[in-house]
Amino acid sequence: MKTDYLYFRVVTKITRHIVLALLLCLISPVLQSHPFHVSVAQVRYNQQNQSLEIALKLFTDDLENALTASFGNQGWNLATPKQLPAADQYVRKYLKPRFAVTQKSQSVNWNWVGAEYQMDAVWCYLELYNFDKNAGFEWKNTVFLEIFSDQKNIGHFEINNEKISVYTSRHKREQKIGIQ
Amino acid sequence: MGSAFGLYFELGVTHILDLQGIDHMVFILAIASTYRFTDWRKLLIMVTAFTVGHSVTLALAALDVFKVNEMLVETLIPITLIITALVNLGKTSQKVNRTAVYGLILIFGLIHGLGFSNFFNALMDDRQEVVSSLFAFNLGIEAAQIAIVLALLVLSEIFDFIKPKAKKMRVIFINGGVFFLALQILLDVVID
Repeated sequence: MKTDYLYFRVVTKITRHIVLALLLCLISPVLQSHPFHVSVAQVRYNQQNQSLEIALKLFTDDLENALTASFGNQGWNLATPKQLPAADQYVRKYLKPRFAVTQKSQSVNWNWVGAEYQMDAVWCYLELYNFDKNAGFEWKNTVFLEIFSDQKNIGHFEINNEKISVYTSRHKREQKIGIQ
Repeated sequence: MGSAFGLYFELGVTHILDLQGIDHMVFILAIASTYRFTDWRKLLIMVTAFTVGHSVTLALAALDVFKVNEMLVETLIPITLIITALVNLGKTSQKVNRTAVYGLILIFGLIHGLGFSNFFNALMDDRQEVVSSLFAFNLGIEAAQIAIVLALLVLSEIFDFIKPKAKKMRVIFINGGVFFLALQILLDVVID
């Protein structure tokens, strides 16, 4: 059986390399399996208040990692009975430099409405007043980009009955949103 | 610019081509590694079997027909890679039952689809437009998949042109690489 013999030879040869490669595998931390690093923001224009309402969904474990990276471990315990009472302030402080809407070259301030802490995800609610629904704007969302290089921050917008979807990432930290 | 359809299509493409998570890309490389342009019919069946498999589970999980354990799926995916690489290595010296291989790829497609759905479900929170988003996402996956297959076929042709009669070596090279990458992915998942 010539072919079997060949296969055997190949296998023994490969085995010799397995040991070497296994050693290489153990010392190289480069490859990661697929943890998904995404956040999703739902953005709607509220006609009544003439404001832009943002619901930002962040994964709870990602948020805890990011908070620890920025402020040290304060014992977050998000979405548990032991949750840090000042969690809201920290989340807000974390979002402040990472999340911005700019219109006509001016940053539109956002107000913190509140957050809802769930086991898998934390919903942050923000509201922007003085938003001109007929003008385009720049949308910056760099949440978690400092801890995950594959982070994608998705934004779904509904303004003037127009729907727009974009995402920001390490490669494009800001997106221009044009309103017709 | 900026339609939800376009966004999900792009996310489908980048999900496959993303160098941070190369498991799906490597699987497609493994599937295509034993073929040449002239075998396009067999290759088409293989890729279609994979596509059918992952489309079914992606749709079912995305439409909330069932929930899947993320950890289990992330463990199974590298195992599908390891088995595919070993089958391909066996192919270099032995005849394999082709129908069995197609069946295997179909089953592996089902597993990868669960992986896609974990990602897709992380993206979707309100369930509106789920069908069209799902369609766009799946289409993006297909586009990336075809691109990988074509790129590999071209590279293989170039290799076979420079080194004729070394097809076996090429198959062993690629699948050996796949095997060890998969081993590392598996170790990462298990150690975590």
